[in-house]
Amino acid sequence: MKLILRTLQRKTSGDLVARDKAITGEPIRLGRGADVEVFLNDPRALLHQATLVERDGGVYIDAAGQATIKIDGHTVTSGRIKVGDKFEAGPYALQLLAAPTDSDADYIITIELIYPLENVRDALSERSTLSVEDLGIRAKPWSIAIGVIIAVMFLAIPLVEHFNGEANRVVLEVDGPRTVKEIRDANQSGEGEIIPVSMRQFWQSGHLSSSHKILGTDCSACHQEPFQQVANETCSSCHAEAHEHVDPIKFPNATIGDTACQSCHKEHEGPEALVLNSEEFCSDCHGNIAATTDGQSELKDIVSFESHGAFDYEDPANRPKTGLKFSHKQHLDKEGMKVPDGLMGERRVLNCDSCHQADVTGAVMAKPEFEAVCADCHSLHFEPNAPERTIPHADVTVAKQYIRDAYASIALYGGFKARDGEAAPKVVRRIPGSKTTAIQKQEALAWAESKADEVIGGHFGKKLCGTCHEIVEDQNDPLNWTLVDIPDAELYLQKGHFNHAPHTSSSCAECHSADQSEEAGDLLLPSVSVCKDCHGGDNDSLVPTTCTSCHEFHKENQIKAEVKQ
Amino acid sequence: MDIKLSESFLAYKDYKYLKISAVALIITLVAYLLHDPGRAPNGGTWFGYTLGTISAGLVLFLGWFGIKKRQFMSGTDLLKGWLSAHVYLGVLVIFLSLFHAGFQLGLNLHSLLWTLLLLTVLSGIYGVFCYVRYPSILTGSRQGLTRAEILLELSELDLQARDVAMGLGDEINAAILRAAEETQIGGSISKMLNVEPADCPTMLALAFLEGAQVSGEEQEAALRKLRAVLIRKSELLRRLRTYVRAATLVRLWLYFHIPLSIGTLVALVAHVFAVFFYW
Repeated sequence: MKLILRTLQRKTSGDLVARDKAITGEPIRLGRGADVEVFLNDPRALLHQATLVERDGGVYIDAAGQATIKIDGHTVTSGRIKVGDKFEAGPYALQLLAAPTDSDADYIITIELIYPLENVRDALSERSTLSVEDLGIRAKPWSIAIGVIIAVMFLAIPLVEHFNGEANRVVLEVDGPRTVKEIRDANQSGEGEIIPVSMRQFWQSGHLSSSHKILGTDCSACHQEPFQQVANETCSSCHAEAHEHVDPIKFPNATIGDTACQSCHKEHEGPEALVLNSEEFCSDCHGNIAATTDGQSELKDIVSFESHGAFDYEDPANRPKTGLKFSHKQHLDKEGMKVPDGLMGERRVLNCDSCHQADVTGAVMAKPEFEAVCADCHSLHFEPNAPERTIPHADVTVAKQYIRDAYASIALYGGFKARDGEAAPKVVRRIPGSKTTAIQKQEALAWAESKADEVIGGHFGKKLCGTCHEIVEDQNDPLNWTLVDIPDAELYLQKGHFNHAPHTSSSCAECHSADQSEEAGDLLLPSVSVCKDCHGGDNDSLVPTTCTSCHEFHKENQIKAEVKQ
Repeated sequence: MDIKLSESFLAYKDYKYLKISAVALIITLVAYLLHDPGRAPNGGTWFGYTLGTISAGLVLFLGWFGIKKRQFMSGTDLLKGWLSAHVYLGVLVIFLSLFHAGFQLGLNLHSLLWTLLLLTVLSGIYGVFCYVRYPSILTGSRQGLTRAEILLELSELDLQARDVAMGLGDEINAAILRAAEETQIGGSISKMLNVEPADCPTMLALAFLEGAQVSGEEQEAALRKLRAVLIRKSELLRRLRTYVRAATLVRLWLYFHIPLSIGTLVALVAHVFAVFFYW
């Protein structure tokens, strides 16, 4: 096959320049190799890219090896080409043309490099990124995005929630136009929120106190005016019953009327922190109470629990008069107390709780009742002939009358068994229920009176009562003895409060040294130093105990505070 | 920012700002320990408000550096001083704001602000580390050549390799062609941080040449030459990639530092607004 190879080259001006070269071969090979007829001077071409061959009366182009060719835009490995057909081999475009009649060539074949090699350096630079800026990443859009997100989520949405809620807001009041329950319902229904989550909750610097938690995310229930601290009237709309700390007339400088509630009651400091319990809060005034009250107060100075003075009851002058004789030491004998009528010298060991039980509140001990705790051992029997009768543990006059009535009844009924050496008229010894004469009745009554006198003034009367009670004698009438009045039980620690319930992990003896006490008048309450064994101020390693641990600030015995806004 | 700053800004004026920050921190710590607010310490006490105001002022000052630094000639003494203060006061403000909050953190805007502040400062500390660590790599890796010179030499080596490979087999030629056409430096953040990417066409071509068989003295000579060219190219690539990695690290932290600091400033505004809106 004879061909005219017409190499076309496009100049920068755009003009095509053709250069012809005659080639002969059968077949005619195209490629980058040294042994081909049509040399493709491009690294992208294969050593042997394709072969032009005449067969079956036509011209065919066959791709070599792994190579492909394109005919009319279709990628093929082989194809017949006619005059005028265009095809591609590697980066070259070729076209088969008819040879001029005056030439001996069979065809003209044009070849043009249509995919020129890229500029190596420019391409490398273009592919590469030598600095972060080359990647087209900018900090600015990210900065704007994060700024806008925070501004919307944490500023705009909470503000919209605030003003959304404002339409529904009325002052929160107990049983008022908007009750706590209504606020709670509004919270649960997501009132005022524009997204499913309340964003205002993220404005809270800390958790609400337990008692205000029910107000939920309705911040405006308390924060009613923007940029103003919560007003006292907002607090008092629910908490109307705040009492003064002291008598505001006597101590006008200590009224709470002019004080903002929130200067002491700080919210958003967690479940338990709404009540201020620092010692400094109290010691500001109580550290030098004379100066604070112009000498009006009789209180002692105190700055912390460590400096707390003795309780009033610790003063021996304040020892209570009980009217009783009682030895705790004797009753708490480790060997136990002899049981009356017990077999073989039976003894019973008594403990504190044999007699003392906490009252229903757990705060204080209930008063031991005679019938419940004493009567087991301390029998009030007075007459062996009437073992079923016991003197009622009641007022002494009632008790004496009971003895008289008892003997009158025995005398009237008869059947009294006199003991050895005991004189008893016949009438009281007669068969019970048998008839008596009027004279006998007189005799019986006289016996009953004398017997009652004997008992009241003797072993089973005055002495029996006198076992435990102080007796007051009457110089003129030995039978007219009475008992020393027993004062009503007094509540000690009246200014502070104490509860036994949290102290049950300690034994009674840790605070009450009852086993050493022989007198009923011994006040077995612990001194403040016993408290200090376990309790310290707020900076101590002991149980933290500040003023408000025991003392109320808003005292209920003071008048209601007139809280001003 | 010019990397020449790196050595000197930390020690600026004999560690003036380090000393100022340390003294401020100690004074605040002592005051914090001595101050007894009578309740859990928090931002709402007078001490808390004071520390909050100081901290907010410091944050604004730190942010102001972002604007101010563009006005300085890089490398000037004034810029060094500002940068030194920026670094040390930035670390200080983390602690001051913690004292301000009484160490109370929670799931709220206020703690978000502190978290953003912390992340901003941590990214800044990483930036300081980069400024100290990488400048020597940046200059050392290029061995006196500019980036343009390295790129130029790389492309010349590509042309040489291509010419030599023209006379060799299709497989070798294709590998060389790919090495020239597809080798890239960087391309993405992860690639910019990778000094020896496993899929680098130049490295693959070099590995391919090791096992390539040719016939004839002429072709063997060509193959040897090709190897020499590719070894030189891979050396240059390594150097340039080492440089790019260091240059990327020196810049990359700023892409965290700047958005985080903008976030911090916006959160600071929201924090102050929220606190006083619901006073």
